[in-house]
Amino acid sequence: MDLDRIAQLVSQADAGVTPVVREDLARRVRRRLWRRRAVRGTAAAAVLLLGVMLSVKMLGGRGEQRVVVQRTDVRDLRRECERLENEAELHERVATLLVSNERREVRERRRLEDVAAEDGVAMQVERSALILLRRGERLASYAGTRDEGVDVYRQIVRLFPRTQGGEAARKKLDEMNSNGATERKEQS
Amino acid sequence: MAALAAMDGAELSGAEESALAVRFARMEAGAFEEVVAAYQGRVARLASRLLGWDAEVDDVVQDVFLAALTGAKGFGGKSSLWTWLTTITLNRCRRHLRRRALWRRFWSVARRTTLSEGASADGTAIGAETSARVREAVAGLPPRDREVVVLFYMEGHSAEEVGRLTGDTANAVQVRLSRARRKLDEVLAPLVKE
Repeated sequence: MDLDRIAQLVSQADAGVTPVVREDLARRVRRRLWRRRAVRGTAAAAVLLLGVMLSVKMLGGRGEQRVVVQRTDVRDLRRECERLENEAELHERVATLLVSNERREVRERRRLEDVAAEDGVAMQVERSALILLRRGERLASYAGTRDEGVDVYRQIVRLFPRTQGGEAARKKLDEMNSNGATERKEQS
Repeated sequence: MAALAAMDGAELSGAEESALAVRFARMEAGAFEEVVAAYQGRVARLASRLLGWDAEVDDVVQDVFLAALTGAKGFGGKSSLWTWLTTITLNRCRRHLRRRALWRRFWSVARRTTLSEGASADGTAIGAETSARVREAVAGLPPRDREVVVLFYMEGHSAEEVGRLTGDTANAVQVRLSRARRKLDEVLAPLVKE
């Protein structure tokens, strides 16, 4: 079938078929537009109202919740503060204890050091006295150096009076004095 | 209920249409009613053809003029009032066909009609029968191909104008036209004697 025949058939296809349209089409269209706007306006108002209600509810709930949270926070804060204070006090006590222990140890150490130092000095003094005492004994044991020996004994007594050497030297001098007095007595 | 009336809608002259278009764009009182009176017949005929001569035309025609009323301010006068209404009618018919296809898919109603083979026994009814078969054949085309056939053969638009109205290129319109002609040839050839 050629194209012209198809075109003719198609163009004549709706011959006698006339669609009917109601006379009041314009009025119906306007009414439909008014109804659509009314529905949309109502829907928009409903959505807006719902939004406002939800916002009010959310804001109101948030406010209440805030109050509750604040009360809870204050109590918790107080407990927390007390706990922290106790902990701080404990730490402070421990720290004080540690410091005092350390100071005591230092003092003890120093004391021991001092004692040790003092003992050392005393020992040195004692030693010196004993060394001089031995010298004095050596010198006093010979007749020719007996006087020098006596001088040494006197030196010890003068320099190291509170030592064992000094005591020994004093005794030596006392013996020598008593022996000298006895010899003079026997000679007279 | 208002009386039913068939309105052919006498075509306006160029000057009358231009003046009406300007008044309509300005939303002057009474302009919309004049547009409806002038074009409702043509819109109904076009919608009927695009929908495959379906009886559900009144709703679509209402949709078309409702869209025209709400979009009057957007009618800038770049095209003629009838071209603008044709575009609106095309879009509304497409939407209607989509909804109908979804609805029928949901309800599993077979809509496609098949041509019955054989000639009519009554010789006097051949013209009407042929027209009916042609309408059935055109109605059986895919919607986009049917649009092109209606606008090209029934509305008298050129391929370029059809392309502008449907949003296709001129080449795409030609492709659709040849595809539609092949289909119509297959269906109508046994019925028509050369």
